[in-house]
Amino acid sequence: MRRLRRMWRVRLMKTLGIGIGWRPELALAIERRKGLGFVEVTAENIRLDDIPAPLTQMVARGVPVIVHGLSLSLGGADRPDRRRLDHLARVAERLGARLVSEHLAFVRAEGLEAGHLLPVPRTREALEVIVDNVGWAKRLLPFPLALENIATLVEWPGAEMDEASFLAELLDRTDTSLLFDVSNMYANACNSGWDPAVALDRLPLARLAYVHVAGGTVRDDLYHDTHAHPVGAGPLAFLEELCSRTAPPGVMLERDDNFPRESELDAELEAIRMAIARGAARRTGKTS
Amino acid sequence: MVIDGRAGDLLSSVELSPLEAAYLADGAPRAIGATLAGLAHMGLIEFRTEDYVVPRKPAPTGLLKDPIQQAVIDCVSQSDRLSSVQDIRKYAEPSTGPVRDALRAADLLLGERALWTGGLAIASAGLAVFIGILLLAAANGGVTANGVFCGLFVTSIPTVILIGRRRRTRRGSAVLRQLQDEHVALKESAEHAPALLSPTDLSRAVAIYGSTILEGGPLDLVGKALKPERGSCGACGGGCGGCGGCGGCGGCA
Repeated sequence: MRRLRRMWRVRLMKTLGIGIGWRPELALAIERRKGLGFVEVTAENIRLDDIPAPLTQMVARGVPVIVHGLSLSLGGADRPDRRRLDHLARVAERLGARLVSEHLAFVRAEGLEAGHLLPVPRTREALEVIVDNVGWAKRLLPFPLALENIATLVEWPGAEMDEASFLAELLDRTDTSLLFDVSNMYANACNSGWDPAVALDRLPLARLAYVHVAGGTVRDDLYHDTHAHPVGAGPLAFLEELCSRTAPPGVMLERDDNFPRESELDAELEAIRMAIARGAARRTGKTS
Repeated sequence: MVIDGRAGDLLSSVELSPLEAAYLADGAPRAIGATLAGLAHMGLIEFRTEDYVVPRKPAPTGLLKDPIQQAVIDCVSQSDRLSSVQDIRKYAEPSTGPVRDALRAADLLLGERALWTGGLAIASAGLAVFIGILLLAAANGGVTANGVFCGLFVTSIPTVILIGRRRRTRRGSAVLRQLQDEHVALKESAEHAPALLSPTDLSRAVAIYGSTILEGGPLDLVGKALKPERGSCGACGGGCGGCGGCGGCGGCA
């Protein structure tokens, strides 16, 4: 099974390129984008009886789709809801996805919905619970799972590990791929005052499935990962740093609000492409 | 927009502008509606209410090359009062003639003769059904005044609708279906974020899918103002879609 998964990762590396999170507002710009590597679709925004026609057309054209979940609450004290897992799997099946992804976060507790991705306590006790949750979800999902690091403005007290080490141990113990959100880690590093490049040393980059990049803004001396602003120099530099150490199988832009015009979107994707190219040049010792 | 067809395909080598697509879809009202939406998006006109349009700024020289666009701008800017969508449609309708003729020449719209002969055939079929109903009623115990009225009602309504809807050739209907299938991403974006589209794309979206795709979004006012029922041929029923661009309605009110 491990060998199969490794083979799948190798195949994924060859097939993904630069992608974008599919949103109805961007449907036309995405369709017109030449050479788009893949799209990511949010499972919770898809109704199985009413899948947007542009998505099904893209699938028919052979554009790879990754299905992304928001509500499994893998970091919660309770096991993930079977219905939500089933929905994620069915959306992935309908869109011919080869990978599904979720956040290392919790969104509900005791029946209360937070409506937001909340950070998990980085303790050994919490790690055991999350390892169990992720393992259970993986057994029920017919697709490989990738876990994403989140951005947070608060942290639980009594952390026993740093973010990268916690993530690395979780991925290793559950044999799970990494969806690395460079903007989320950049935001956490900015707001907590540590060097994101150091965190890269601790992350299992060999497990990298794909990368998220999004824009943000600084408000009240805090960096907010808004997904509503153009990708700034900070996250792009961090993406370059990542690419100087490894070749990510895929990198995608997330934009969820304040949607840009097609030309601005193209510029955003071009900026991402350039950052990847600069990182690759550093890695291989060639100038871009 | 180009409709690519396979060799020997019904749809090979058809190229339509947004306004031609609009006329093909729903006649002159749709073509004028798509023009209004595009001009509003360019900032040249503004919808003040669901019924009235005002000029916003003069069109730069050479920008308006399409006669329908020019007619709409002329109507809006020459009027000394607010222009209603109905007035604009009435004023600009003659400018859609060349579009209609081009579509007929491309075998996408039925010509006058085909409309008449087809209409007569449908009317004859309707009459035959009516006579059949009368004969059936007679065989079952006699024809009453109510029976005649019901028979007339049952046959005349579908006949009128069928005659009214006969505008496109089979090829024209296939081209329109293909346009609707091919531009689903445009539809999705027009429904959710019309402000992000270029004026041409917005015009094309209204052309192919109608102004209802703008309702409920940021351009809700434009969508409601361009509703077919607001057109000048309400007597046709079912909006202007079946009127053959108002020409078949017996004139605009």
